[in-house]
Amino acid sequence: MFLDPQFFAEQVLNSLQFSMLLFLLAIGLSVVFGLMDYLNLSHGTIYMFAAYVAFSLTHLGGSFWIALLLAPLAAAAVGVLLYFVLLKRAEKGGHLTQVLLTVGVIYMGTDLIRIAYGDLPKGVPQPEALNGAVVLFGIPYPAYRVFIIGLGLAVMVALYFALERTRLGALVRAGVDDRATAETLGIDIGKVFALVFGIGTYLAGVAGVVAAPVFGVYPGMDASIIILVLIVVVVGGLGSLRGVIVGSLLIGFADTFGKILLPQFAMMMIYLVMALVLIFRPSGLLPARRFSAPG
Amino acid sequence: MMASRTFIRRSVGVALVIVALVAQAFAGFFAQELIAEAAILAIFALSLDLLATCGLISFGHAGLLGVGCYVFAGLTVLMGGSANVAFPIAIVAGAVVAFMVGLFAVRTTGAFFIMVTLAAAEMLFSWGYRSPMFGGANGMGGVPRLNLTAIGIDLNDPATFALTVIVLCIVIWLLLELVVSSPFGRTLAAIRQNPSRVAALGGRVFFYRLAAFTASGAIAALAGALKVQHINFISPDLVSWFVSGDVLIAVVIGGVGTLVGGPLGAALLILLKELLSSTFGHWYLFLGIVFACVALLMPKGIVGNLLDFYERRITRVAASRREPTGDAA
Repeated sequence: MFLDPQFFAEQVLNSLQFSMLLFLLAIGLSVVFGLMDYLNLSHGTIYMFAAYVAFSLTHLGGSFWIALLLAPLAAAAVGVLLYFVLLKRAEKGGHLTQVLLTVGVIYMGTDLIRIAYGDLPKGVPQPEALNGAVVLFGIPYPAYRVFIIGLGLAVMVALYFALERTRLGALVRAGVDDRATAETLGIDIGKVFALVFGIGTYLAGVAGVVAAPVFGVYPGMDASIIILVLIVVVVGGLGSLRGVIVGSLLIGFADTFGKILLPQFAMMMIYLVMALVLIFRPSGLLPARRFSAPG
Repeated sequence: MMASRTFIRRSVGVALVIVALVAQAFAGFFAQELIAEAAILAIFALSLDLLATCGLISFGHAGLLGVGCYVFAGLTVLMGGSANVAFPIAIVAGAVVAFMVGLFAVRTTGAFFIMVTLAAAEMLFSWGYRSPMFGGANGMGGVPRLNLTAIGIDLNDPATFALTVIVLCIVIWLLLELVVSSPFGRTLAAIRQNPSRVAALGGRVFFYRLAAFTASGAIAALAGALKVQHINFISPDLVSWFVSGDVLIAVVIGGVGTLVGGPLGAALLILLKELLSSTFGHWYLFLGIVFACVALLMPKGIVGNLLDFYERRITRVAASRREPTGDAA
């Protein structure tokens, strides 16, 4: 089967496309986790929310591009609001309180979506300009999926420069590396965190919009992806952009190729990868700092 | 002060036992099913809280529960074995699997331990989901209950089954109370508070954590073997991460590291789900609101915050006794 280079190339592209979605979702979660040690399971709810906003916008006659412009902004607004109204209060409560609170948010979010939109899956049409196919590595591949890969790569590059070359990036890196020292030097980590939270939820919103035409929009789409995103974060190592990139590629490829090579054990592949990584690198592959978890 | 904390904890436990027994005595047919469900979740919660005693939080405890489910169902339904033989084997299997997973898992802590245990459980889930032997995603029925007719107990009667599970839960709770106050249990608590200090004093943190994980696995498998007996059915849904989430939430609502908190949270969670689902169409919305309120108002869980409340009062009383004239407290 793998002697067929066309098939192989197609699967590589599929893996890349899935990896990019995971990346867009995981980066916000990873930085929030690394910066504030906050385990925010409701990150996926923002992703679902953005997908539904995109559905509403396209349903009302707006184009996909308008949805891509507006829905992530709505997601960021709701995310930051959620942070200030609810999540901030559990900042010092430890992981378990955060799990309880954010699982509560997941339940509320899913049911509110059900009340507003019903239980049935909805579709979001992909933009007409991207309906065709592009020839890549000698095979025709859907243009929309190439667009997802390109978008993911563009965000990676943009975030790399934002983190490495801007003042805000330096503040974030300082906060992740050693929060106490950064605060002693007069950096308001709380403010930095709110901003990072906004950017993270914005990117989760972007992921929700671009995923909508591929996977559909349905209540519970958040719960089905959040575990994978958490795995990306943990495999990559907390709080580092490079870690999230490596983690999402690893999990994206493991998922896609696992389904082809061992359809019986497709889900097992991902968990096996994670278990192996954590046995040999208990802090993940590329953590922002040598993270010694409180015992 | 330690003694008073223990006293309050145990008083809550005794009160809960009395409530459970009285409720069971007066419950109708349907309520017996709920009580049995709550008591099984309570046993499962006790096993998770034993692990929390040494500072480890598992997000894959459904995997260990699942070992009990699958071993018990496999031995009885597939191999035609006696339920009475399968039950202890299922418990031992839970301990063995926990030991093997623990060899790797307990080297990590915190969020990483959460994820490793999740991975282990999801591997079992994905196996069960595809396993043709156990009916795959559809599950398999016909799981028998323990046969205790020799001593005059008919477990196929819902009320008898509920009472038996409650008694088992009480026995396990008492056993764990002994464990927690033993030198072994004190060491586990010390590891939770400061693992590096215990290690510096020569304590073998790894072995203590492994022992706690193994014991926890045995109890979780016991709960699993009871679960499949209760519903006479096995399906991979019993092993999904939602089950791990449910038991974790039960323990967090009750109070992590308090032992009685887990069963209290389990009973409240089952009761709450039943009340909400029979009252509201979109009851998960309300369940979510309750979770958020507990997380924000009682971050240490019901029993945990109760203990803190009394501790503060005791400290205040002690302070006012030392300085009878001032208001130094």
